[in-house]
Amino acid sequence: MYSDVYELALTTQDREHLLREIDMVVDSLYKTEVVTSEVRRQVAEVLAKYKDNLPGVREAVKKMRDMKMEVARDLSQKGVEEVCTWVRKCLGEDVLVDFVVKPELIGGATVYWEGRYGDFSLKKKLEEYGGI
Amino acid sequence: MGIAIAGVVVGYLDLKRRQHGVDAEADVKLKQAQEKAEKVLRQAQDKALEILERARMDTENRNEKLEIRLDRAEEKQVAEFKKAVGDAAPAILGRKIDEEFVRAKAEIGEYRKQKETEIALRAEELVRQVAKQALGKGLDMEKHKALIVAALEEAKSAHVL
Repeated sequence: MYSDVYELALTTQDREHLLREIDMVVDSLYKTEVVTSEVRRQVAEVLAKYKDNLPGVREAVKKMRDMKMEVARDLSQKGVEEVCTWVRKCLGEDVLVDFVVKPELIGGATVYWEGRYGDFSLKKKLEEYGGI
Repeated sequence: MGIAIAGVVVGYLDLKRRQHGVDAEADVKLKQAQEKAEKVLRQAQDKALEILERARMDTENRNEKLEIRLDRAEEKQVAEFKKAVGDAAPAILGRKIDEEFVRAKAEIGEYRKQKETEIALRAEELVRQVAKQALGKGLDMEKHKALIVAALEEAKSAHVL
C-alpha cells in the first residue's frame, strides 16, 4: 500500500530522517508557509499523494520492520541500495536494514532477523575452515 | 799447780787433735756419702730412662698390632658388605636410574607439551592478525559488497532469513 513511501527509506537512519520530514510537512499544512527546503523534493512529491492521510503514512513508516546487519565497513550509497534491494526482495518491501560496523568481522556479515541470528562473516569462516 | 795446768793444756791439745781427726773423718764420710748418693741418683735416672724407653717401644708395638688388627677387621667387614650387596647393587642402581629417567622424561614431556601449546596459541593469534590485516586491506568496496550479498544468500539458505 505504501510502496512508494517505503522506497524513501532503506535503512533505520533513513527512517528517522523521513519521520522528521513527514512531521515538517504535517506542520506546514496548518501554515501558509511553503514546505521548507529541508524536505527532499522526492519526499515532498510522494507525501503530496497522501496529504489526507499523513498520520497513517507516519504510522506505517514507524512500523517498518528492522533487520540488523553487522558488516566490516561502511558501504557506499550504491552498495547500501543494492543490499537493501536484495533484502526487500527476500523479506518484504517494508523492511529496513540497520547497519552496524564491526571491523573485526573482516568481511561478510552477521544477520539478525526476527529472533534468529547467523554469523556469515570472514572471521567466522577463518575460524571454521582455517582452524584459527 | 803448774803440773795441773800443764795437764789441762796437754789434755786440751789432745782433745783438739782428736776433734780435728774426727772432723777430717767426717768430711771423708760426707764426701763418700755424697758420691754414693750421686751414683744412686744416676742409676735411678738410667733405670727410669730405660723403663720409659721400654714403655714407648711397647706402646708402639701395641699400636702397630692394633692397626693391623683393625685393618684386618675393616677388610673383613668390607668384604662381607660387598658380598651382601654384591648381587643386589646393580639391580637397585639400575632400577633407580630407570625411575629417574622415567621421571625426567615425563617432566620434559610435560614441559614440551606446555611450550607447544603456548607456541600454537601464539602462532594462531599471529596468523589471525595477519589474515585479518591482509584480507581487510585486500577488500575493495565491490568485493566487500559482494561478500555481504553472499552472506545474505547463506543466511537465506540457513533459514536465518
